[in-house]
Amino acid sequence: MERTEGKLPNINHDALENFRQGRCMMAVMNHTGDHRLTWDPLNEDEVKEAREEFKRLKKAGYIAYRLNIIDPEVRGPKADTFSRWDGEIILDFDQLPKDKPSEVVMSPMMAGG
Amino acid sequence: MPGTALTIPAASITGPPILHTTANAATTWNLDIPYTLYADATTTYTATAANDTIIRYIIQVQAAQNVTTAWANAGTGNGWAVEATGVDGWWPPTATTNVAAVAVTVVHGNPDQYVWAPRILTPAEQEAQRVRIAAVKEAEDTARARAEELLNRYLREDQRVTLQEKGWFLVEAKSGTRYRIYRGRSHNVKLLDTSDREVASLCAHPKMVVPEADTMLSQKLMLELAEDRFLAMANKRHLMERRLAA
Repeated sequence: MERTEGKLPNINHDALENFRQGRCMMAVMNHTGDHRLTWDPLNEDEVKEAREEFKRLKKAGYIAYRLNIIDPEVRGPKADTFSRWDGEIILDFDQLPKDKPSEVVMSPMMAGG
Repeated sequence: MPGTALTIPAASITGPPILHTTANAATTWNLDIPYTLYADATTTYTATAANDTIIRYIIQVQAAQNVTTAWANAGTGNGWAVEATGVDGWWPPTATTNVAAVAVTVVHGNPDQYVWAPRILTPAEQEAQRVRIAAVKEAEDTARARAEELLNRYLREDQRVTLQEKGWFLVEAKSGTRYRIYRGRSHNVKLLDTSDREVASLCAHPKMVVPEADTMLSQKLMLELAEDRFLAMANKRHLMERRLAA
């Protein structure tokens, strides 16, 4: 099979852009793939809206994963934007850091198959 | 107010499965199928029929003028409102006052003939069906592409490569245990031993039906950040024992 290295899209471009612009992002999985909400952690109105959405999803049984973004400019050009284990399950919106952008993936409730 | 009991003897049902016969309660009604019964709603009615011959029933009420009760939700009596539908063979509604009329439609017959009988679509219906199917397919394709993009966002370069080339990627939990996640939804997570041999198949996935890539991302995140939780809920099947047994 042809080697695909170099042909893969720059997937984490958006994540870095959000990070550099100081914006947080929440990706909510659903039957349409996902929908995404971004907000400025310093903008009270946007934070309030994101918090309400977070609460609504938690009530619906979603699992919230907070993931830290790593800027290759800090870790080196070959660093991955998201490294393994660099995140946690959060139960409350206020567990998100207030001074830096972060990403949250909302995964639907899981069950054994 | 006590009323007239109307019993529908299922045994007398004859004829083809779908007929349209309207019988008035005041008359001697014939039991061709289905039938519709109109009656004065100040009376209590009971209609019964053999469960095994009833495909469905529909109870409609027509409200009298100025009725505001929820029961007669047609409101002002200008139309009929469906009160209940179902497949049970027993209809025990009690119509008291403020209802102009009650209609009961009971459909009897052979369910295979009535429910599943194929019908050739008209060209217009075929076109409408084609458009609907195309729209659903487009929505599915969009969802799949979006989920793939989200999954790739959180994969490392080596994981992206094996996913594209081999259809799986490796995940290492904080405990050091390694797992291989294949494309799929059920039993697509494999527990690896220290030699990277698959020793068990694990099954845990989102309850909601989401695109395959979303399922894989959910599994990856939980294995990396909450491995114990994943293992506690997953259905486990040992693969090595099976191989040895074989």
